[in-house]
Amino acid sequence: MQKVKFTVATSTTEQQEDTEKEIAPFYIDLTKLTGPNLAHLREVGLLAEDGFEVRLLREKHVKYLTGGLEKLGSGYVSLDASRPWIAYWCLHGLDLLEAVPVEMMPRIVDTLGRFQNTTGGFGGGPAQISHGAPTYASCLALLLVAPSYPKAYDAIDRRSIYKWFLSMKRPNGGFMMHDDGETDVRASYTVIAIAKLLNLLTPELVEGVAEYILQCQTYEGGFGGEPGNECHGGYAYCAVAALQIMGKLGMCDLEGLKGWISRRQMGFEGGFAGRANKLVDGCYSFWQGGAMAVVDAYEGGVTEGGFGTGVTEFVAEVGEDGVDTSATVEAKGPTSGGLSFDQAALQRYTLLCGQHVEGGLRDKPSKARDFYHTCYSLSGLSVSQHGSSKDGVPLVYGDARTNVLKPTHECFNIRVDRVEKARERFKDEVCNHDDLI
Amino acid sequence: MVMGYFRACLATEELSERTLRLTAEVIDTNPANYTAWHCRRKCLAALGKGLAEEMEFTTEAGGENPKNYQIWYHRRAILDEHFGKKEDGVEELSYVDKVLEEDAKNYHAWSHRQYIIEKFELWGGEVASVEKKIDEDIRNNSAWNQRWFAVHLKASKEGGGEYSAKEEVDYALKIAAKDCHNESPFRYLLGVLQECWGDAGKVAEGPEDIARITKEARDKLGEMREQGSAHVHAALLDIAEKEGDGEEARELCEELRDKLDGIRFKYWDAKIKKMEEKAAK
Repeated sequence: MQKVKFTVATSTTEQQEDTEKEIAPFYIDLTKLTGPNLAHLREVGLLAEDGFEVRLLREKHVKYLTGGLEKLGSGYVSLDASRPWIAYWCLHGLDLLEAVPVEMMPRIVDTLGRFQNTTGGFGGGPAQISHGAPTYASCLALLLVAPSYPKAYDAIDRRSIYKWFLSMKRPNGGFMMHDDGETDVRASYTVIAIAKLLNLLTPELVEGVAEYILQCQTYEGGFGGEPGNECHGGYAYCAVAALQIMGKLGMCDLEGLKGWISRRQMGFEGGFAGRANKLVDGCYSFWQGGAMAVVDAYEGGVTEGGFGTGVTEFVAEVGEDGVDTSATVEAKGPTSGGLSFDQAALQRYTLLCGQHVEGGLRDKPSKARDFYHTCYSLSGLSVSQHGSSKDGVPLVYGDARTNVLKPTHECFNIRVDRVEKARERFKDEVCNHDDLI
Repeated sequence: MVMGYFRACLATEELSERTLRLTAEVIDTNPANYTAWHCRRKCLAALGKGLAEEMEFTTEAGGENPKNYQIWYHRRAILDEHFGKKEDGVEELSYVDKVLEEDAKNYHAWSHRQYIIEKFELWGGEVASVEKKIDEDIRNNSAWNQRWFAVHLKASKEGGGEYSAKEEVDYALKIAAKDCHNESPFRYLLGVLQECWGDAGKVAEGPEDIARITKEARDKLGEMREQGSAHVHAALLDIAEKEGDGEEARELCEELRDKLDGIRFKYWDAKIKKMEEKAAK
């Protein structure tokens, strides 16, 4: 555990020092805890009753995320252009925890269906024009509930989405987020990911897309949002996953990319930052950790792109007290696990610094919990447990009885089994430009 | 209520003063409502409205440190549509300056800055103004990225695509020497060196100069080696590999893995394994 060193103090080093000070109390030696402190941590559920292993507060996170789904109908003015996001963040988090409430599915599917425009794509709410982000979030949400509630598949109008995707395409190979909207790699990723899942990835759609994305890789090795922009975890994930889906990840500077992602893991905190000389933030557990999982999958032979994944799911024998812990490997020290980052350190950050004791996860301890950070912290945890795992045996930090999540697909960020089901569902549908338009 | 009226206007596609006022109210409650911004642009076009005012409105809606896509894109769309004079660009740069004073790493602001500099051909003064930002905080990585952007843009517009690698290497080494634990200048340095070693068309110097620049950089970095910075080691490693000094590369890599940069153990370890495989062949 190494704190950041410096000889010239600047506002960057000040903020970094503050963050390290904020994190340090969470990293005390837990086995030395006694008396009321120990009793408190056990009472809130952060520590096992019979040991010192850190626990994922499963039930509390489930409660928090279910609450988000309940509010979906009314809620949040500031997010009223992002309602599909709330649905996806909460549903995917719950899905990783194996706790999506089946009884809510009809209403969710109905609500999301009302955001779909006849001209193709989804808006952020009713009477909103279509936008790449809500289209991505709505489709993922529908695809993850569909295996239990097949009507969700039928709610997606593939043909109109395809036409809309094409209408967002720019001559430079980029996509606009919406009509008269910004062009960046988020748009490229949301189009490519959803097109792949719905079996709409035609040569016409893909043409020039990789070339645009490749222009966004910078001298540091990561990717920015637009050509020339500073590289950044969120955009880098979009770029890397989109390239992998198209089978074109090998076209970028992979050595530079790996170096950049790996340098974003913070030596003391263990979590990831989004950019060089910025602070740790739980959401980058997925954006950076997931991007590394994509690269590792590619280097491990998943070069076909598309549905290929570096994740194999291990079906554990479930005993009376939950998961059979003999089917997990303990995450200990920087050498454990098959991904190219320190998986133990990332899991430790997520469990100790990320969890709010009342449920939900956060950027860092001084920040409030929210659905976005809960979703991506859990997704990063899942990647870090299952990515490049040997024989599908998860690598688990802390209490293996409570902490194992379901494996998420590193390119799409819905569960691997949900991706497989979508593939089956749409594989025989028309996927030919002339027939689609 | 406001939302209801606004939806009604959307449904009838009424591009009027009334709709324009409603978009302002909707944006006031939620500046991320992209449909309202979109509708606003349509109204402005239909009404032929005063556009300086629109920039003011956008500034107001954004507050001191705007971070939503809609506000920044709106500025871009308005500038694209209605402004083309250099003064307009200069004025917009001063707006970006104000935002960067509030948050020197605001991603959208830097991205917008790149757009303005290119559109209004303002690259002339950009390297100097970025140096000021780096002087304020040598770890402002956004400013380093902007230097790269400005140097390369200027080269492509004025220098036949070539820039002076020596100037860039000297600058990066100068700042690196101030604090060897600061990643930004080291990455900048390596970026320039990679261009020297790779695509010869990008830098003004020829092979002999490049050899000299590389050697000087290696010597300067060598002097910093004792300070135990992972960035110094990583840079020396890249140069050693480029120069084919396998043994030194391996030694540096082992020090990174075992002493300086433990959190990246697996990353460095994989590099060592690759070196071993290469050596075995």
